[in-house]
Amino acid sequence: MLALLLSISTVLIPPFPAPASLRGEIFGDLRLAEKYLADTKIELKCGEEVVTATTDSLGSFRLSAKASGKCTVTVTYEKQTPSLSVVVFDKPARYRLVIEAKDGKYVLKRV
Amino acid sequence: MAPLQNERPKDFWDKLHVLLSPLGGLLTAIAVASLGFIGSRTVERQQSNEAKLRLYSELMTRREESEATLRKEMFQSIIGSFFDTQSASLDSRLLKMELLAQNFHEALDLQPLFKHIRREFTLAPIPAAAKRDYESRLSDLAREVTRKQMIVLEAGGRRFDHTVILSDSLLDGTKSEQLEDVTLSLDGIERRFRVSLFKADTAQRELRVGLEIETPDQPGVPPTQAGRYSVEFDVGFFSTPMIDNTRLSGDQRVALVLTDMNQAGASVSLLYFPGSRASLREKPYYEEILRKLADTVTAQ
Repeated sequence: MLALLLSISTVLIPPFPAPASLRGEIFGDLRLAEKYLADTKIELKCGEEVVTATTDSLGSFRLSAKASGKCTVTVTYEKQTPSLSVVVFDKPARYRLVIEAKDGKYVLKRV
Repeated sequence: MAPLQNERPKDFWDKLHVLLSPLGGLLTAIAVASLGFIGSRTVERQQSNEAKLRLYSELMTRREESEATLRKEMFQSIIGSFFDTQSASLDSRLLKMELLAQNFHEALDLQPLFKHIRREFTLAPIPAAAKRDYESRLSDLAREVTRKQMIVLEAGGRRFDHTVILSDSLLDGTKSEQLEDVTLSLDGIERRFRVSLFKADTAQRELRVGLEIETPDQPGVPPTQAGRYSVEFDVGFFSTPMIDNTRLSGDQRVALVLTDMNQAGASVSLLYFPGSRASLREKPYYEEILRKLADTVTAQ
């Protein structure tokens, strides 16, 4: 009987739920072609939550959000704000970001 | 007695000849002795270097042998206990799995064992919280192994990270999605990779993917090896890139790695690396060995 109850509870409970207390984090670096961009504003928007940071002297960044799931990263560079959809997981994820110029507009890509 | 008609007084050159004749002999003797000395020194140095090399290779061989013996005994002990009828607790089985994965991930395809252990956790009559804890430990272990392998493969090859946003059609498997084409170059061979996603299973944390590889005609690539072909497979946390990879021409490999996944999306890394970095159990084809030997000779 106990085994049956346990089996039912296993089926009903999703196998890998994300605990609400965990914070999602993305980290990595930002560059334009081969040049790493220092002191560049980078923003992570997950739902209503917006987290902002600036890349360090080596072009690296680290952004933590309370939520996980689909989010948007936006970079402010030379009066343009290219953005990219990202997924924030329960564990920190590395994002190597590159700004590419396309028809006079900057595009943000993950490589 | 009359003096000889053709006898003439000795000039400077005659005197020099008389003086230098014995000196020449002396110099020849010194030259021969020096040559012998230098020759014997060279031979001695060469022999000493050879002895050092022999000693080094002997030490390396012995170290390899002792390590292989230790690993063999360790492997037999751990793998034997997995199939022991006197089944141990889940905790102890997970510990054995951790030992196996951390020590033999480069030589062994652990995916069947990972899946077997996961099935055992699913069927075990234990509370759901404990079940989740075990499953989390198991997937963390698999990801740790993958992370280690990725560091090695990335050091010798190329990597490209894709972000996958999971749509309803992808979760249902009703519509496929194509990721951005990636062109990477390794050891002078340029290839284009196209990843297509057919289905995402967030419960099992698996993706059904298609990988298309195109090798354009280029210098250094035989025309028979240029072209396009595609493969389709599942990639999950238990797929390790050193073992679960696609063999390419020119002794190269490509692997897809699922680095993370949740309900919203996934992170998939493409690794393009030389065959020398692949698993220890993978052997290069004979024609590839011969071609590499020929290339080395040409380079010399």
